[in-house]
Amino acid sequence: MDERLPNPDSELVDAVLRGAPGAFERLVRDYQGLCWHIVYRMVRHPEDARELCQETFLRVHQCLHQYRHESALKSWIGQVAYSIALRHLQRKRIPLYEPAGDEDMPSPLENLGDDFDLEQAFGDAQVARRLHDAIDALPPVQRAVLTLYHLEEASIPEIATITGMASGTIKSHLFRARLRLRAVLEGRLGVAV
Amino acid sequence: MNHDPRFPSPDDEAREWHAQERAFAEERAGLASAQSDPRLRSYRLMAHVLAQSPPEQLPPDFARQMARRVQRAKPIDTRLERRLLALLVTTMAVAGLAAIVVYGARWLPALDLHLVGAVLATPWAWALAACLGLSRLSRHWLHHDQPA
Repeated sequence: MDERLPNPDSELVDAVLRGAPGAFERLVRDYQGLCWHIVYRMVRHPEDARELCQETFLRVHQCLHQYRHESALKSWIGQVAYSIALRHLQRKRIPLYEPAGDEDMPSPLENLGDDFDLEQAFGDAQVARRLHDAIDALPPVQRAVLTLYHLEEASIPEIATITGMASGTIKSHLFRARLRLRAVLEGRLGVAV
Repeated sequence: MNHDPRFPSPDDEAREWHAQERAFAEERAGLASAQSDPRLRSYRLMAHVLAQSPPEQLPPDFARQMARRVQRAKPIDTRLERRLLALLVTTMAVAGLAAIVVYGARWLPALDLHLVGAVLATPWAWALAACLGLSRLSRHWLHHDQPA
């Protein structure tokens, strides 16, 4: 027996397409956090990020009739936000990934020990500041992947849908970014801001 | 093949990945920190910081502003133009019919009915008509669900 529960995504999308009062405002309210987190963490400029979020929701409104329910609405809107932020960075010629040479460099894992006591080394505020600086110094795509995974708690398949990258690539970005942050945190790497 | 000592072995990387994921899962579940492992503490702290929203946020009325903006950007009402266009087409059709009635007796016999029949018997003519019809219908279907 096919007893399908009503899908809140479908109901919201149908309401927006019907032009129901307040539906689009609800859609924006539901997903503005996701959009902001992706865009802001990628572009790091509040004013640009606000404009890109507006562009994202205008695009969502224009193209919502093309949404085919093949992925969650969250992933579809995330995909629009990610691609708009990516295009903005490309236009500004900001590198999106690690420089190609970094892949062949020895891994920071080689220099990391298991005996580093973070609390003894730095105070809480200093640790948080070092981490924020180190996150800002990561390439935009790694920042987006970390944000989706840790802040939005998106699964790796969801991140794959949003970014269009393979799951293995996403795991590699996560691994390398977190390893780099650990190395910075423990003072083995400097933060190039 | 010997392992290049400059790079970590796959086992080291697997252990590191496991530590990263374990720290993330523990932080997400709010479990007590494993005090004995400094590496896990580093990754838990990292997971904690990464899970924090940025200090800057969108304005509180962002959703309302967007809804208003979309409302303003709605397509212009073209009902008057469409009615005028329909009137123009009707006028032209009526004028054409009147011209046939008034002047048709002079030129209608000259029309080669065989030529019309030959065109209709060509499969390409029907294919062209079918393509045009399908294109028109698909456009109608695609725009059917769009918001007004």
